[in-house]
Amino acid sequence: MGNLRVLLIDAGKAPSMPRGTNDGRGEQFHFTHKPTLFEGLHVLRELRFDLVLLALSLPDASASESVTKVRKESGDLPLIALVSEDDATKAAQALRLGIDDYFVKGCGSDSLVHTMLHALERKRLLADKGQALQCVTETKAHLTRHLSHEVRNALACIHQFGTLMIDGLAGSVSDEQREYLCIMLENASTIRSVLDAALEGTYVPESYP
Amino acid sequence: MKVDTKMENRLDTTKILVVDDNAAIRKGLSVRLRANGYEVIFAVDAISATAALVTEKPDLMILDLGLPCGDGFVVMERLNKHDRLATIPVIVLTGRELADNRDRAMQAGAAAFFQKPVDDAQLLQAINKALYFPNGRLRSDD
Repeated sequence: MGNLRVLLIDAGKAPSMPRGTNDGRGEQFHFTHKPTLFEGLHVLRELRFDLVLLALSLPDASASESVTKVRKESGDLPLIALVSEDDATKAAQALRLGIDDYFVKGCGSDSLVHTMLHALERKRLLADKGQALQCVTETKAHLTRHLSHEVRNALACIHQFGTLMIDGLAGSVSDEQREYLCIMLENASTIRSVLDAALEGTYVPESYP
Repeated sequence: MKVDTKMENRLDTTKILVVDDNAAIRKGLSVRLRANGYEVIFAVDAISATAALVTEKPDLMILDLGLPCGDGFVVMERLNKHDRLATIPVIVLTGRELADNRDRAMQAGAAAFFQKPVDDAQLLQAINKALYFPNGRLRSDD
């Protein structure tokens, strides 16, 4: 993972980790510390970070305002709220507003490192999952287009030659033959309707519960 | 099914270029169009379509979109670059989905757009309209 740039927005002192903390697994955390939401948002716009630690009791904003504004400005960055032991309600509220995790102040630097690495890993997994999902969606769309083209060409042939025969352009047709051809064409038409509905996402089978 | 038109005497000389890479589609269309008095010529890809437009000077083109050597939009683009050919009405008949393709085809100058399989009467009506009332444009849902 290498060097990780962490923005800490907290009116209190920085967590008890020396600048450039190395947790023993090769990750180094470089902290930028800002005491107010205003300053935190400013530096968030100016510099690039890998993670944001946000205290929910800032002097210039409420907890919900802080989370909402930082979440908006930080995009997909992992956002971890720093709460005091009696801030469980605030933490739950912050989770609903978009933080990825929270950390109870005073739990020790090892625990904070663990929380940060966990949030980073989860974001990375979600991003990988999102990319995989997008790949599946694109492949599915491509296959659907191809399927549509193939089926429509086949249906067009059935329709064309069926109607040519009914119209007598390939010789005379008996009443019984005409009846059978009509059945064939009606079913080709049904396939087309089902295909159209399926591609539009509006298809509901007759026996669907 | 015959075209009911006052211009029927002109049908004898009306040449339609059918561009489709599917041999069965070409065959079926040719039988239907010839039965209605049209002369039918063929192209199977974008290159032969462009060549046929120049050498055969058809009165109308029925154009598939999914073609080898450049799709139907490439053919329309080439058509529109030649003043002499740009007046040839184009009816798009494709197995591709409606989304994007229909609007794109109409913007490229198609006189009508149909998704396969097409109703014969609608196609013949569109041909008639494109040949004799070229300013009006048809869509498959008109």
